[in-house]
Amino acid sequence: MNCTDIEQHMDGFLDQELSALQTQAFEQHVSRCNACADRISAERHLRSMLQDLPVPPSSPDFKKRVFARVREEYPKETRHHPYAMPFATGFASVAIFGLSLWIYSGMQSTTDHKEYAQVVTVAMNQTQSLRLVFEAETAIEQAELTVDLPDNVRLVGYSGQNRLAWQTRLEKGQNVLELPVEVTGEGRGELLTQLSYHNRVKTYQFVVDTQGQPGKDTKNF
Amino acid sequence: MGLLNLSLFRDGPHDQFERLAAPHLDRLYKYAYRLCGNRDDAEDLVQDLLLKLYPRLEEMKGIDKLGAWMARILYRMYIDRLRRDKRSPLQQMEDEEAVYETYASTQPGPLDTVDSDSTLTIINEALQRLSDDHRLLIILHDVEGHNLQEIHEITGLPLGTIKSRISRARNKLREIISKKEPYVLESVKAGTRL
Repeated sequence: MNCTDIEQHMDGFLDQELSALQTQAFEQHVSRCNACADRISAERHLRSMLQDLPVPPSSPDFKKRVFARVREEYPKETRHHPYAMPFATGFASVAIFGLSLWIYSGMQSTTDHKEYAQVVTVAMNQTQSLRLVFEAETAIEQAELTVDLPDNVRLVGYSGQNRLAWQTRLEKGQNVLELPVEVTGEGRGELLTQLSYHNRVKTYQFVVDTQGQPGKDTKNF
Repeated sequence: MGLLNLSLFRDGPHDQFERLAAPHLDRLYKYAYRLCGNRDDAEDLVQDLLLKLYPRLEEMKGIDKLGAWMARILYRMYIDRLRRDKRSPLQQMEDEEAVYETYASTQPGPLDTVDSDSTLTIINEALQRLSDDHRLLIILHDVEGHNLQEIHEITGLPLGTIKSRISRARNKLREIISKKEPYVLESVKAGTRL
């Protein structure tokens, strides 16, 4: 191949579309021609930069807005009333003691200075699964669970709702509530979870913090 | 372990739609931005895509590579939008020379921009000044990394046409960059970034 051939076959070479024979001839020429080697190098670099072209972030409320617009456009969906979940059956006949709750996120979790408040550190603008693990010594047939979200946290699938409630049954042992959350704004906020059963109310408080503001005594769950 | 998976409660079509589409939104926005060249149009395009796809929720549930499928539809919507806009009184400028002249006469020169513009920004601007056909193929092939066969499936163009157009598009891109900011190509040749 000569320099003209190299120019003609440059795209094919870079796209790995040349035959083995053509590739060998191409590489032989480039190995002894500095001008063509420079041209190949420049083309590779240009392609690399094309792949790195900057894209500014979407507007802060973009995701929330687009899905809200879909709901406006197609409003016919019949939503389940949060208090009418099919899990609300039966009656707890056993006194419940020792119900505990902890949070598991696969992310950093710390113990804060506030009493009973855990800090969960999450990344901004990413959907992440936050798991609340309820451990019950005995089964609870009917419990009401409410979750109050801080302003900078949204629950995927529940746009625009900061308070959610369900009626459910708790099994004996560990019960996991998965919350697909997205943090939309920086800073700390309190996530309150309240479990009501058998005339008892237990409230659990977590601090949701955006990444970059880790708490003390970090540990992973 | 009892599982109170929230998804069990969220069986409404809107929730299902959001759960399917949300993981692809960031990538679709970036793709739309590269096609449109600005944030507002990119966000509008993604919004229109979601409005178009919601009635196809059941179909979406069975799509294997959902992100790629959504991206293909987004691309077609963008092409439709381009064609529609071209029928409007506000015609797009097709001639890179004319665009370059307009641009060059109103924009700061290299010495003015060297401190504020990165090489990437200049390349991005040059890309936006290609004709639609050339720009789209560069985006599909060199930016998004689709191979010729995938581009054929997306655009419906014959493979030979795609190949030759990409080659011409790259030459045009280099030409525009060298006219606008010759030092950029020098930096590219040197394998450095300004």
